[in-house]
Amino acid sequence: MVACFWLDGIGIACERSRLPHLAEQPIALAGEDDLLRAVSSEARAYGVRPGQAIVFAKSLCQGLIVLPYDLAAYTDSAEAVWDGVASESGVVEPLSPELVYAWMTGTDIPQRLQTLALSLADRSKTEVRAGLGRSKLVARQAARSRWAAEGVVVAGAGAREEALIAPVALAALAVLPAKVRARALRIGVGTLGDVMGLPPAEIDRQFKECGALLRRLAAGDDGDPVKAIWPPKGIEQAIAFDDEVGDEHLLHQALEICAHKIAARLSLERTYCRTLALTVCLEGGESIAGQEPLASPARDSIVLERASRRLLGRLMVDRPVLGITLKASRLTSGASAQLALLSEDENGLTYEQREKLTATLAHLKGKFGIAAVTPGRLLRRAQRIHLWTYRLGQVKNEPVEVVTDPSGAPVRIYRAAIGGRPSVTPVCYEVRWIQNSWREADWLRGELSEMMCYRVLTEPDGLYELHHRGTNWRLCAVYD
Amino acid sequence: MATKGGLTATTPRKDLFDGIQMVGKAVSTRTTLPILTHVLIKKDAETGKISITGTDLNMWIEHTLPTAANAALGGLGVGGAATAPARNLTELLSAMPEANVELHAEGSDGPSYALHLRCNKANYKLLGLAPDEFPPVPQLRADTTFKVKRSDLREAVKQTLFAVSADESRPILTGILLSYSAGILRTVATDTHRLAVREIETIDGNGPDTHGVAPSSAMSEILRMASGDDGFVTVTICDNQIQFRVDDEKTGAGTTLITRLIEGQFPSYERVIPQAWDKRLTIEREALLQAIRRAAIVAREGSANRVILRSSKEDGEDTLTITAQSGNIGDALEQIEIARDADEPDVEIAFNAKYLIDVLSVLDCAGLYLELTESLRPGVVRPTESTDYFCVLMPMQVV
Repeated sequence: MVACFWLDGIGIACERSRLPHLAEQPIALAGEDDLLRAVSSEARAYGVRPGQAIVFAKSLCQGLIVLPYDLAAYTDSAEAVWDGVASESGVVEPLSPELVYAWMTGTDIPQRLQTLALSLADRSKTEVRAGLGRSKLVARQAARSRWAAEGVVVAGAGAREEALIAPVALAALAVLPAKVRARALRIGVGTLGDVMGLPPAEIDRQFKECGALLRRLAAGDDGDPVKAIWPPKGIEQAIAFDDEVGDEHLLHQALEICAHKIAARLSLERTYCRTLALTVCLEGGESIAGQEPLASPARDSIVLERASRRLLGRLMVDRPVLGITLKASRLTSGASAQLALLSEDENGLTYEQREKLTATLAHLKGKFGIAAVTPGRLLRRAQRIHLWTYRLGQVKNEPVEVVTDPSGAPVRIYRAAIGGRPSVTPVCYEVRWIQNSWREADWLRGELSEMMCYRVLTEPDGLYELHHRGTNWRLCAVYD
Repeated sequence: MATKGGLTATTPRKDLFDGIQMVGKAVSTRTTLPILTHVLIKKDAETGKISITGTDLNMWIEHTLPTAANAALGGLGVGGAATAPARNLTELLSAMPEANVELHAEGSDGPSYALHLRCNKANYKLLGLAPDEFPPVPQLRADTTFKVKRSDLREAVKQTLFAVSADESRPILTGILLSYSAGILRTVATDTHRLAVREIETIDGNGPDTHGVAPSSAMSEILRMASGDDGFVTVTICDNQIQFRVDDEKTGAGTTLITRLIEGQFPSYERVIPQAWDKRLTIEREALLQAIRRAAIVAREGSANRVILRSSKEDGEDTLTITAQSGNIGDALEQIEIARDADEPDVEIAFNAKYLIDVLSVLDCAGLYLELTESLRPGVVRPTESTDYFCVLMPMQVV
């Protein structure tokens, strides 16, 4: 049987655990397309629903707080749920933080599922709806049905299963070709229930070669088995010490051996790892663990060793160690980026653009005098006077996304680019403490422009200076 | 300037067809000026030589028919010119039997501009335009002139043309830099991911050191023009144009290609040429090429053409292992023997298979050096037998 777990509130719960002041506030999570992906029950009371545009949702609920959908953060918290599911089933397929399938075998499946759902709800601090069916399609409909709030819905064959899948819109079935969906709409067949009402011969006549697929879907068979993709495959290397070890040098040696062996395995299997995890078994049987996402896929023993040393330093081991386990996970063959010989300069200008700019500046200087042309960065530097605070080492000018509290102070920073390189997913920094804030004014295109400046301490550790002007936030300096 | 008199000539079909084909590459196919879709056929009154010209206003190609063909012409001493649509004329001549073709055109006083062709019993009349409308071939001021061996120029163009950029947003990179200095002609091309440089010797140099970027379309024509191993190509470079002149002393035929140089400053490529290496692999070119070609079949899907080269010692022998992976197709693993210094460390570096195939295909040496420093730093491919060519390749980064 296929079990489906539906956690549509996990994003909201995750945000509320990070920002406690959002409790009982109407909040919604929006994707980059400005459409809502999840809404809290408080927002639902105003008629706000997932799929609505932000502007429309705000017209329904004036006080709606819209946060960016943070896939990486929600996936992190959903991993605990997936681990819980994996403890009951060997075949677990998470599709998103909100949706996970598992293949269940054995006896008393509904009872076991009920217990599991309750324990997952407790662990994730959100409602977990569970459904059982003979396919993913049926199990998902069971989990999303209104009865699921009261317990596990078991979609047995027959009328109950038909009732569950009948409202499924054909437009929502990506497995159907677009032309079939369009044709179905033209002849007034909008749902699987409509398909069930048609004689099989008529379905074949109307949809030709896709008729069989449509009949199969209407019978609840989606032909998509649950895949075993969780927990992800990894390469693990462990060393158990004969005696308790407290010497850091010995631990480093052990890490080096593990890193070397893992690198050899990765090389042999021609894969790279994206994450490295270290578990340290301490005196007394207690274990502490940490993991680090690598900046780029790696299989080099030196890179792995350095990362493992960083992890060890972060774990702050204060007792003798009995053993260590190093695990390389999120194995991948890696995507590729072609490096360039004649790349753009630090200002993003190609060689030709730089030449043209130089020629233009020379022309302007010749026409209006050397003093008439001053680089913008010199002007900016000239206007910044640090009278009462020290200057941060790295000067930057980087647009960032910032989540604020009701008073407008920053609580979380999302950086899309680190070190000048765009990051695949924005890196999130939680603001631990606002060290200082002040208002500043400067000349912008001939006008006096005011902005709010914050100097904040963040988690992961960092000291940043943020400037807020209008709706734009910029990261202007970093302590190095 | 085209003469106003009519044209009367007889010439072997093959010579005329070859000439039309030679200039055809310069003929514009999509233009608002109808005359640019035509070729100009001109007969010099004094020498009796027949020449055919085509242009798209960026490139001119003028081909003079062989002396034998000129000698066979009727009506020597009567100069004249005519134009005809290049496409129709090419198709017609390709379908005509192997015999003499009689050309006849009325002068500008005639009722219309038309070229009459007669071959055996076939008679055709192709409507043309006034020869006077045809853009004249530019007369270059000979700033710098030198000669290069045909085979050398052909090889230099072949060994750099593959690295020319197709990115129209950076026009300067869509051509080959021809840099003449101290009797040496250097051809350079780059698309910012690779850089190919070849040096050839010149003779009879005249004029100051100079350089210019010639469009790749014109340079690929040079490959056809400079066929054959004997003889020289005369190169003339002036402010904004370059001329290549190929003369066949045996037949008396000759072809001149004039093209505009691409405006702009070619990037200072010297700064990206690695000055040192710490790992140098000596590899048999053909074996590497075949291995990369096979691995590329796997690499082209899903991994952006990435092949990973790893040098190591396998069973006591220095080996280069080439691997490629694709989620859809599978894995590739090739091993070839290499030579390297005993104390050289192993190296692993990823390259775009296409870039490797491109450079290995244009070399005709038996062995090559692959000079490397780090896995994210550029590598250099050099033939073992000569020092006048190298290609810098940027690696791929696994992300």
